[in-house]
Parts: sequence; structure tokens; C-alpha cells
Amino acid sequence: MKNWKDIFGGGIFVLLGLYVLVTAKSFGLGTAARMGGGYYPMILGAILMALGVAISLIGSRERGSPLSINFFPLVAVVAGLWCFVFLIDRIGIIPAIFILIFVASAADLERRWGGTAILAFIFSLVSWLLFSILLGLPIVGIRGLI
Amino acid sequence: MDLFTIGFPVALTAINIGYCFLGVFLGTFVGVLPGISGLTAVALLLPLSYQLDPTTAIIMLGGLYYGAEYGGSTASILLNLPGTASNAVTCLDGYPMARQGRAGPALFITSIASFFGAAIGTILVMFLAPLLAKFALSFHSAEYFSAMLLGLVAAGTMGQGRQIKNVAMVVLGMTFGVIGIDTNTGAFRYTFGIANLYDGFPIVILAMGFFGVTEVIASINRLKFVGQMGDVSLRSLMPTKDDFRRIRSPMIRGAAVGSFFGPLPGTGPTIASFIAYAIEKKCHRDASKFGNGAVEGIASPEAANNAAVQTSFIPTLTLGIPGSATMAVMLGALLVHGIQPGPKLIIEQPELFWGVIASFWIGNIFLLILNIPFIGIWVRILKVPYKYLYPCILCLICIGVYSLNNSAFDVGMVIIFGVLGYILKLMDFEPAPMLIGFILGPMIEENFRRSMVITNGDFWALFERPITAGFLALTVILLTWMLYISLKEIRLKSIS
Repeated sequence: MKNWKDIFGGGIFVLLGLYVLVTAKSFGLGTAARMGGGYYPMILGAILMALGVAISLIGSRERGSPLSINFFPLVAVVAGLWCFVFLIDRIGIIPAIFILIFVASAADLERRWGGTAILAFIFSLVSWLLFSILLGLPIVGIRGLI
Repeated sequence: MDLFTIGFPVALTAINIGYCFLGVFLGTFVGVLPGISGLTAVALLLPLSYQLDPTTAIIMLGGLYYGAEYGGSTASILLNLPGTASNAVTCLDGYPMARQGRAGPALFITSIASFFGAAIGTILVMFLAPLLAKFALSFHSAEYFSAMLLGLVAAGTMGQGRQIKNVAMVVLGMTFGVIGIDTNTGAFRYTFGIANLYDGFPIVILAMGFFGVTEVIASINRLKFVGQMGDVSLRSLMPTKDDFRRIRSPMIRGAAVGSFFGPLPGTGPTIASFIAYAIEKKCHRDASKFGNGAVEGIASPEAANNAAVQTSFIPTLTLGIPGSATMAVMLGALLVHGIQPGPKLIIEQPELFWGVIASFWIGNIFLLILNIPFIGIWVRILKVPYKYLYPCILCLICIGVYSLNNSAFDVGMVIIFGVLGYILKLMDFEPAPMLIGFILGPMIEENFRRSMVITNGDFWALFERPITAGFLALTVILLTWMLYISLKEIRLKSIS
């Protein structure tokens, strides 16, 4: 088996470098003595591409180990965090933290929903008390209520 | 001596002692807990530090950073699971000691060795930083550009993992640093028309994503304790006379190794501890005792990682070039306060410089007390399962980032960086060099542009300046070395 980690990883850098390189032109390249906004990113993009190609090449000539993705935690944590992003400004910190913990806990193989609910409840309340009340940050607890 | 006339009066104010204690206390706390690194902890507390005076902020964040090095060995010894990466090597002999019922002496020795390393490191900071600053006072943009370039290449080539991948991560960090309005030309670079990106984004967001979120995703269900843990009573802590005799020279060797690798960009405490262990093994005729509970094998790396942590402040405070990824985050904290670390820092802000150094002494004495008489508390904290810990980390990430600008957009960016960080971690890309690239990138661009204006676009004219030529030559040597190693790897692999 080839080292697909490095082949794909290098590929990511090639694509990113290509994007950086191509868009850099629109910022104005200028000359070496009077550099435009695009001169430095253009260099970076070229280096990124070159390194990406090199990483892929090395990877294609050696053996690698298989990927081991921690798939369920990845999905649960990311979903929980997005819930926080969408809820914090709309309905306040207490529900946002409650749902964040509830969703993120779905990743835990040993979870018990009752325990999770208690944990989420305590954390949301403590976060509100600590940050909104004690530290005085301008974050509402529950919109329209506290 | 400025340390006593300027430093201690600053560090001994009630507020600074308080925050120093908070820093080392929390540092030991996160150090003890596996699955949360010192860097994540510094990033988590960064929003809080924005409200503090810059000296107090660095005293607290610094305490967090070196405190984590003390705490990390506790989990290594008792659970065979390193609390932070730089304590991984302590597992090799620390855990066997615990299995032999000598967990107490092991914990005692690591604390003593840590203190010794930290003390040597701090003394070096006191004497070397002013010297380096004096030398750097003559630096112009060309020297800065070349010194930072050397720092970046060193961060890539000397870190852990495959060099070429680390260099790629450095450049990725520099690219993230481009985002925002170009101060020279007013060009909107990679802002995607989003107003939140016009001023770029702070390093905390990158650190929380690539370290905080990525660590949580990677640790859930995977962070399991192996073996069982005994209780440690105070009576069993005392090492034997023979132990004390045997750790004396390993501690000195460890502190020397740590002090050498600490200030170099990219080689932080982790590398220092591994190399110290390797050297220690070479220094003894009977290498077979290593791995079976040799006190030398825990004393040397623990002295090394603490010496490295303290000395990594030298380049950060005198040149503005971070010695490690955590220092890059701390540099970001100083920049928020409008302080640009550089050779003038010691002269213009002696209270900050000497106050922070004086706080190292105070903090390390706190740590000695926290880690020897009060070790029982930390042993109990070890039993907190990760399933209670990670919701807490996620909450702190969300609220901490949100509170920076009261912006949910910032939290969204953390999620994106977290996912990207996890994907790159799966492909064995280290995130630490990226942070150094991110913080140095904009400075390097600025100095590169300025020096090109002076030389009228002639890159080779830079070599006419002796210091610049020296830095550039070192950079070329490092890059050649990287190329050589990469080519050798390819050849070896294709033969076999």
C-alpha cells in the first residue's frame, strides 16, 4: 500500500497553493522594489505548490499506514459547535451551551442521556453565572428572559 | 541588579502574585490532565488576559506554560499517559517506578528536576536576553527579515515529524497571516467579501481550532487509562540518599540540553526532553536499567523540558521571534496590548521584562510547593474522566472565542480550522509550526518589503550586510539539510 496520507495531504497543499497563486494576481503584483499586495502571497502560493508536489511524490514511493478516523466524535463535536454558533445570538448562552453539550456528548460511547442532561444543565448555568454575571460580559442568558 | 530593583517590586504586588499563582495552579491542573495541552490552556485563558495589564497577562500566561511542564509528569508516572507531549519520555522510566511502588519518589524527583531546570533556564534568560537585545539593537529591516526567515525554516526543519511537512505547515500559517487588508496598498487579500476578515483574525482562533477542537475530536473514546493507579501518601514521597546522588549529574545535563534547544525556534520542550533522555542513555555504561525505572531517566528529561520552556522566552522577548508555538500565542497576546517585543523592550518596558522574570522565580517556588506537599490533590484530579472534561473544554472554547468580539462568526472560524486541523492531523501534519508561521508571516512580509525598497529590488544585495548574510547562510544550510534528508528517505524506501 502506498502512503495515501502523504499523497492526499500533498494534494491539499497543491490545490491551496494553486488558489493562492492564481488569486494573488488580482491584488497587484508590482515590482520587487515596489511590491504590490500580491507579490508576497504569490511567492507563498508557489512554495505551497512545490512543497505539496514534493510531499505527494515522497508519499507515492513509500509504504504508509491506514487512516483511522474518529468519525462519530468528529461529526458530533462539529455539529454541537455549529449549534452554539447559530443559537448564541438568537436565544442566548444558556440554551446554546445546553444544546452544545447535549449534541457533543452523543459522541461518547459511555454516555447516559440522564447524566448528560444534568451535565448540560449545570454547565449552561455555570457558564452564564461565570461569564455574564461574574465577569460581566455582554452575553444574554436566555433572550427575553435573563 | 535590575531584577531586584525593578523586577521583584513589580512581581510582588498583590495582583501579580495572585495572577502568577492562578497561572501556575491552572498550568499544573491542565498539565496533569491528559488530552489538554499547555498551548490549548494558554489559548483558553487568552481572552481573559485581554482585560489585564500586559505585564500581569504575561505573568499569568507564562505561569500556565511552565506550570504545565510540572503537572505533565504526574500522569506520565501514574498512568503511563503523558499529561503534555513533553512529558511523554518520562513515561519510559516513571511508570516502571510507579509499578515498583516508587511513584512517590518519582513524583518528588520530577518536581525537583523541573525546578532545577527552570532555575537554570531563568538565570540564562536574565543574563542572555539583555546581551542578545543589545546585539539586536543594530538590526534593520534586512536583519529582521533574515533572522525571521531563519526562525521559520528552523521551526519547520527542527520540529517533530517529517521536516518537509512541517515546512509546508509553516508556509500555510504564513498564508493564513496574509488574510485581511494589506496595510501598504489597501488591497483586500483573501477576505471573501466578509467584513469580519478585513483586519485578519487573531492567533487565538487558529490555536483554538488547530489545537483545542482537534485535540477534543481526536481524544474522545480514545483516551483510555492503562494499568491501575496507586495512592500516593506524603510519607512515601522521599527518595533515598542513593537517588539524590544519582540524579545530580543527569539534572545538570538535562538543564544544559534544554537551555540549548529552548531558544531555537521550533525546538521546544518536547524535543529537548527526548534528546536529554537519549544523551542520558549514552552517558551510562549500563543502559539496560533505562526503561526499568531508572531515576536518571526521569530527572534528565524533566530538567530539560523546564529549562527549554524558560529559555524559549529569550528570543520571544528580545527579537519578537517565538521559540515555540505556545510562545507564538503569547506573542499574539502582547501584540493585542500594543506591545511589539523586540530589542527595545528591555529598555523601554523594564517593568514588563524584569517583572516577568521575577515572576518566574515566584511561580517556580509556588510550583515546588504545589507539586510536593500538595501532590495528593493532583492525583485525585487525574481520576476525572475525559467525558466530563471535554464538554468543559468545548464550552470554554466557545465562550472564550465569542467574547473576543462578541461574534459568533469567530466561533465558526474555529470550527472550520478545527476540522481542517483534524484532517491534517490524520495525515500526520503537525500544527505547531503553522502557528509560528502565522505570527511571523506578516512581520516577515513587512520587513521583506522594506528591505527590498532599500536595495531597490535587488535580493542579492542583502548578502552585503554581514549579519543578514550570516542568517541567510544558516537558512540555506538548514534547507539543504532538509533536502538531503528527504532525498535519502526516498532512496532508502525505494530500495527496500
